Amino acid sequence: MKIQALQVLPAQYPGYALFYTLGSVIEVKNGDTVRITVGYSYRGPAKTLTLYGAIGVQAVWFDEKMVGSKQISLPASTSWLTRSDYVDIAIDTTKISAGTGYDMYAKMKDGSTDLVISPVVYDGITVLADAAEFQNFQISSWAKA
Amino acid sequence: MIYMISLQSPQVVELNIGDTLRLAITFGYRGPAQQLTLYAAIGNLGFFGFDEIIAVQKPVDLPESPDSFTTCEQSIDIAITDAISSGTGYDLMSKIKEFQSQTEVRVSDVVNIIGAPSMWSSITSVMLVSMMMAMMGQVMPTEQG
Repeated sequence: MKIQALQVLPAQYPGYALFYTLGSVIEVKNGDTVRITVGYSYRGPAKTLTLYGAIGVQAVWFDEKMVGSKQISLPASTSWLTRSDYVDIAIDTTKISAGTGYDMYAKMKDGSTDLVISPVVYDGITVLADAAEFQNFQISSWAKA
Repeated sequence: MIYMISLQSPQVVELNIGDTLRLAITFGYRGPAQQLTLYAAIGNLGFFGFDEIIAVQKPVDLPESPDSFTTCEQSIDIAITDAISSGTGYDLMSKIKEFQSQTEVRVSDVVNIIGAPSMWSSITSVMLVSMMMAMMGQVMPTEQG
């Protein structure tokens, strides 16, 4: 399984999608949706699996900040079927802080078991802060605590 | 427009290694409720910018204030470690990390680092008191029965 394509569905322009090539950095704001499209091959009985995507920070383990998932119905096939499917992750800045260098990955799950996991796409997402204005920002006092 | 010029020198705080410096930060905020990063540092303000020696950060929750500026007060603690050398005239810097250009402020020459209280200075104090007591004993001999 491999992440094939990335899109952003901007909250500001419903019905539109911005397409990004892999390797570029996606900038998203609160309310936007990141659509992760994965490519994979399947052979086996008809089955319903869960396509799961996550945005977060890869450290020793992947610290998931935002996730999305959807059910995928796969047909019975004795030969390899090449497929692509997508999963949407809605950006909520109360759960993910504005910042750069967020990573992402996707996986296919059967119940709670991970069947196949994509390679991590590093530093692919920047979460922009919501518009904000500051006035008279100052260090008003400093003292030994 | 009236300009106010303060003739008062800014307060200088003297700190030892192991002390904590508490900064109070005040500002007006207009925008959506969101969590941002308050950042502060001790260092030296130079020709090439602020050279940070000890830096800290913490998340701060800003209130929803879409129409008018809301006054916010935050505090942040900087633990004084041996990363900083003894010396005078250190500077302070603070900002909201996600809005650096709008918020970064500096205060010059307000921190002196005395260094850790040494074992020798404690011993010297004890010796001095002992010597004074011994001398007083000779000047004012106790009454013999």
